[in-house]
Amino acid sequence: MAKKTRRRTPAKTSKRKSAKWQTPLWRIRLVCCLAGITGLLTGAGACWVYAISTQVVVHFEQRRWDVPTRVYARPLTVFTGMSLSSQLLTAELQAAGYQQTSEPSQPGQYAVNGEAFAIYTRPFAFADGQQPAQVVELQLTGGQVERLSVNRQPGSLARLDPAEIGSLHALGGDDRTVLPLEAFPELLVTGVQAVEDRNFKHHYGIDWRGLARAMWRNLSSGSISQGGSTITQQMVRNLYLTNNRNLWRKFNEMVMAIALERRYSKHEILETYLNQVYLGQVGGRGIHGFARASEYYFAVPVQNLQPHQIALLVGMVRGASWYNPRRHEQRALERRNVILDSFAVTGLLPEQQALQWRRQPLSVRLQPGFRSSRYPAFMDLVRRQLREQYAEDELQREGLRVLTTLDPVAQAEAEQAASKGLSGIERDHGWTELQTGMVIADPHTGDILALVGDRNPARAGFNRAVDARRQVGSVIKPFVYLLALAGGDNLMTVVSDAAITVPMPNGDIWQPQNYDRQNHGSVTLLTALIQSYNQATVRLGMGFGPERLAALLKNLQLLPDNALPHPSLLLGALELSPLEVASLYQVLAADGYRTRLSAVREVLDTNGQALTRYPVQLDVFPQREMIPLITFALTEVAHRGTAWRLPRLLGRNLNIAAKTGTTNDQRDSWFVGYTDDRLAVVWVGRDDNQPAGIAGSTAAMPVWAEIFDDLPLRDIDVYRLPGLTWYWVDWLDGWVTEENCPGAGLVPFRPGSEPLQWRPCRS
Amino acid sequence: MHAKYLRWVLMAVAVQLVACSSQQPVPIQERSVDIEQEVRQPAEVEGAGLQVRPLQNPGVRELLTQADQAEQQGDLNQAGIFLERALRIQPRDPELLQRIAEIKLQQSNYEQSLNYASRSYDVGPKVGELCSRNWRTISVSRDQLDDPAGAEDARQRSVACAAKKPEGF
Repeated sequence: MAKKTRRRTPAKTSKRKSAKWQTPLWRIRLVCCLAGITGLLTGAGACWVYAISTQVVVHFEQRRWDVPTRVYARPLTVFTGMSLSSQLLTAELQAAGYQQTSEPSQPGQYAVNGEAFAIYTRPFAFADGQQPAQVVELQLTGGQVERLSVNRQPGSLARLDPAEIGSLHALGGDDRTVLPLEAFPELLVTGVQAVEDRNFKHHYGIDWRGLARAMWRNLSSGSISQGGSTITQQMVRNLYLTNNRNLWRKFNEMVMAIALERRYSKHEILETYLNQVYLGQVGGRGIHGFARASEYYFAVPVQNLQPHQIALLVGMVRGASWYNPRRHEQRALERRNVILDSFAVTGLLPEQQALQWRRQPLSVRLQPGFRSSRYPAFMDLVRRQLREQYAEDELQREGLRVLTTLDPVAQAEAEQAASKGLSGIERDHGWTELQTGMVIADPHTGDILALVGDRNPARAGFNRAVDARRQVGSVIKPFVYLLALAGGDNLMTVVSDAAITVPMPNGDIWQPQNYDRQNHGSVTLLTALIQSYNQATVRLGMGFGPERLAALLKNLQLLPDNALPHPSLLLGALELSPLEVASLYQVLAADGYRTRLSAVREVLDTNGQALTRYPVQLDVFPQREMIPLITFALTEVAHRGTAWRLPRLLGRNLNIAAKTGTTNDQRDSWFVGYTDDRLAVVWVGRDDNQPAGIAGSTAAMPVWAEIFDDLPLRDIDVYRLPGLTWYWVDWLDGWVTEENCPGAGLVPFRPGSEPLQWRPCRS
Repeated sequence: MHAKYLRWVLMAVAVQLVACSSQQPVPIQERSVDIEQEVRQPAEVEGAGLQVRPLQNPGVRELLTQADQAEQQGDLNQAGIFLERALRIQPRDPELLQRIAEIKLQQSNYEQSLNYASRSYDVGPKVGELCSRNWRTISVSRDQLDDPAGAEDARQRSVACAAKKPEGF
């Protein structure tokens, strides 16, 4: 169309003129020339208008649905009888951005009275359905949930909406929560129009009267302060993220605004505007749209904003950093009150109410309702897991919601143990430059509850929990004993801990030594394991052959298929990351039912439909029947073995299955501990893999204890471990004896491998 | 005329070939499992007598009820989600583990139904109705996984659930 105009206009004009007037030739030429130039210019102008109109429509279309993926922690499920202290619940609520008030009147608030909590949850679309906002009341007594009710109906189960822990963005992308126009509160929708563009419903993209008024004011004040821009023009400006106010830009802006108005309905434009308008900055990312701003400044969904909060956000449209309520409180308050007045003047809010809201404080939360990249190590793992199934582009633009397994309280404890615990250990022992990687998991479901990849947990970068592969040392030993038990031994089988010489395939000789450089003579398997004797372990392992251990590790995908079964494997000459050690021990902690450790439970689309679920898949571990024996032995490690100091560090004497690990020259310190429902792995060492002078029990164990000293622990009821029979045996030589004999203890056996020798008490 | 006839024949052959190649191999024993007929009802009869029912968390009970409703409405996925929520509360509840096994069985996920039933048996009472449901689920799963000897062995053990006293009694 533009091209046609260019060709016709000059021809027509010259023909008409030459017919009516008899003019000199040069004049005709001049007129022709001028007409030609005008035509060309008009044509070029039309082309330009066409091009930028098309461009703005494309951009508008992209921006409307370009929403980053949001990532959530696991929702807290509370049930009667659950272990929960007020301190932990408060920490949980704060992590989820809940605000403490005296009387919760809207979602996102809670009140505490002694040990009674009233929590007004926010609506959330879970994979099993939409959960509306509800009032959950809890009575805690002695660290347990005694009673609970949901919307005043007594019940036994409630679920809180999860904390938002981050989002996955395109590089340089914005942070938005996109909602349909109907989801915004009426006052916000009308209020924005009243303040920014009163004529919005009637103009065609440009409000000439508003523009004239603004120009008049600019002329009389001598500066360009009033823009007179319509909502559509602001929309255009936001699309291109520029605040340049020169005339050429202004012209383009007007053209684009008209183009948008021709193409889209007022409804669509307003909806996109409310979802797109710039309202602040977090880190390097813009906060866009009222819904996101509401979450950021008030930690509530936009539907629950009160009039004075709406007024503040509407006021901030004019200048989000200038009126930043966290930084310029007074300025923001004044601006808010101006807006409240304007709501009253335009009749959106009764005068009396506006006055009342004016008296309210800003009520902005000091801490943002969410913080981006709060858990860099965990988010890194989430991203890696999602990449197995989703293209980067899908994650960044399609507004997916990822429900993860993160337990914010466990994560906070782990982070604190990493930073404070490590500094304390360095101070006590004079060590320096220690680093750490930690994993906390639920062994039964494979949920990764917490992940720390750096002693400074806020630092993104090298994720030691996942990527630092270090020698595991004695951490491997329980699996050597597991294979011995599967081969017919029991925990009271006696093995020699004398010095041992192993000829190697290359002709060398390997002479492993005990940590204390002593030989301990004949010892039971139980003692050898809980004291972590190297010589006895190697003798046992050489009995059935290191290839069996290699096969076990290959089966767990922790050893490459082509790795040689070197005898030193028996003492943990194998490099694993803390996450891999966690997956190794998951098998033990879950009674021999393997499940994949996972950071993600499900991925939902914007409507709450599950796109991907990661259900708990169980695999039966071949030697599973022997595992309860190993679990029993490991609880003895924490009573009288290498981790005997654990109960003292924890301040509680519980049955915790524990294993320490120290590698050559004390480069790496490992500690693995599991309870009835938790598994945690801690590695401490140096990034340069230099000797650090640390042992499992001196560095990693205190950090482990630091994590769990404030968390509820369900200890292992060894007598309920499946498939065991118990005998009183003499602890030292393994003979079955009588209950009241000195040195007698209860030891479990598998049916069929019970001890046969009985004798009365030793005199 | 002759050429035209030949073309038709060739086309018919081609269509047949396409039909052959797009046909999926059908496993011989593929069938849907009737959980009531094959597991629950016989187990009720077989496992009559001594019953050991571990105490159940009321929260878990509530989720089991919701899972029941979802299952009755034929929404096995939804039932699975409720059961998995309960698993996060009480991971060693044998009834819960068996219920998950039965959902997996109905979803033809035989490997998982086998493993969940086995886990339920490991931590369960090893006697009575639940024991029988464990072994019947294992038996049907093994049957579907082409292990008839294993299936028969499991069938025998399900019968033994009523007669056998639990270990430690």
